[in-house]
Amino acid sequence: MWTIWVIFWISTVPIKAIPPVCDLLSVLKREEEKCVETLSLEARNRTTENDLLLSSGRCAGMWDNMSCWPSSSVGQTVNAHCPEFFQMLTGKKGFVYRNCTSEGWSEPYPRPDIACGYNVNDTTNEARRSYFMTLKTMYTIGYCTSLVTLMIALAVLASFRRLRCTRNYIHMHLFTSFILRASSNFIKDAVLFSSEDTNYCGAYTAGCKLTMVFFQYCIMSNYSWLLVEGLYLHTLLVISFFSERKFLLWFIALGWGAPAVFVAAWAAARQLHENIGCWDINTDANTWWIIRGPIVVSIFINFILFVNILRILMRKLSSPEKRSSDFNQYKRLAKSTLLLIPLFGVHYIIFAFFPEDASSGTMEIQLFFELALGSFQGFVVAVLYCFLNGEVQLEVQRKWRQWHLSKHWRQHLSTSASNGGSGLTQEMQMVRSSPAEHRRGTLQRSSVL
Amino acid sequence: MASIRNLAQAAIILCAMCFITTSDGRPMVRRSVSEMQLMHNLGEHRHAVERQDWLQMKLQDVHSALQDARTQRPRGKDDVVLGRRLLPAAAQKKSLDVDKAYMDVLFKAKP
Repeated sequence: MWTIWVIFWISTVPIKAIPPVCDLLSVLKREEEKCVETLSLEARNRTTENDLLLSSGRCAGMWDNMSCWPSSSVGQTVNAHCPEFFQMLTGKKGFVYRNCTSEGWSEPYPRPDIACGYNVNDTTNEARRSYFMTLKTMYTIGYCTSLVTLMIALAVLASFRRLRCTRNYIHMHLFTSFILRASSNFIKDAVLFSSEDTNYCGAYTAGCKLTMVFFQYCIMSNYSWLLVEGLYLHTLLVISFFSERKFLLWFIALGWGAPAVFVAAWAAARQLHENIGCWDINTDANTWWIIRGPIVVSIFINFILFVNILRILMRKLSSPEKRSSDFNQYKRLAKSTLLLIPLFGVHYIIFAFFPEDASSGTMEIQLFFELALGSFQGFVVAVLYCFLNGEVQLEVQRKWRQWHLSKHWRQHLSTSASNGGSGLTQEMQMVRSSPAEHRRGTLQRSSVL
Repeated sequence: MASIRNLAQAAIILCAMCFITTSDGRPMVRRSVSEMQLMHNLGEHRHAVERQDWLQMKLQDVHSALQDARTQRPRGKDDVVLGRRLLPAAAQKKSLDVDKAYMDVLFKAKP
């Protein structure tokens, strides 16, 4: 709560940075003022005779919204520098010419865009736009799917009391963080993508920045909960006896608390050192390391834990008393590996340390892999750790049978109340006892994975 | 404990990796987190598009200023020769509005 207030207070401080087009505009404004001054100076020096001349054989000086053209006599060719803002965009110097004819000024030649090295028909921006749109559509589908499945999974885990254990509590927190990640993506898109028109420099309000802070927090907390999953499973396998309750509290503090600390630090650093736009572009590497560092470290630790867990599993599977066929052993190992990858977010390791090279296509591949495919991670986790989980299936079946039975029983009671329910209670007991046995079995299985 | 030794090893490797990835002396390009990377790329793209659109608008402005110059009558002394002011209001309204919006922000933002 405290951090939220601090962040809110920070983001209400007025914006001082000058946004994208405004630097060009201020340059243009300055040139225009200079031109007006020159022209009015010219006008002051005019005499009535000159005025007569002007109406007969002169082109009046003008500001054509881009360059200044001093008044000149007919037949002259006047040159003007490429406007300063053009040079800012293209970095090229050049001249534009106009002829003063008896009908007035001619068209500028060569055309200003060509003379100043600007390509009007440049389609790279259009191509990039369609690339972003495709990417957005793909991860929107992914996050939608994940969001729906995760919500159902969360409801299932929360509603069955028998499923409540430390492992499922951690799963529930992970699911929540996935839900937050997906929904924060939608919120961020609504803020950043929606306004397709130019937003006049000033649309970056405190609300926009708060959305960014929330977005960063959701992403970070997802990574921290992936780390918690890894830490939990690792402690489960390495340490035989530990207080699960105490650990759970620590895990919750790590999962939700640590990202809050880092994001608050990032927001403060952004406000003080890099208060540009809506905080969506990260140009200062040092500020960005506040978020990037912990995430990269968590990905790496999770990878190490993953490798270590696989090593322990391999040792357990190949122990002499459980010796089975080699093929079966590898199949089980492969299965547990595939199960653990989405839970630990091991796939993030591929690009986390990739050599930096913005020019090659690796960025496109990374974005496609981690966004278009990665957005389904929540879906995969929900399916593997909730819907395909033996305990959950049994519990759902039990509830279903119970409900079915109670309906049947009610019907039975209403039709033949005299017969009594001795057979029925027996049946109920059987139904009740059997899942418990199954449950013990699945618990053993799931502890080894 | 084997795990602690492992973690220590891991930490060393991690530090080495961080060192390698930052030591090229080039500015940081990658964001490690795809969502952030996309947001960053998109932000830069929007920035570029905004500038391009604005430039396109300016180029049109020049064209219309010339049209005006063609049709102009001999001017009096008091005419401040700003092409824009002499243009038909409707044609220039949009770009004026846009510029005005920018200007408002620009000069409000300046301390």
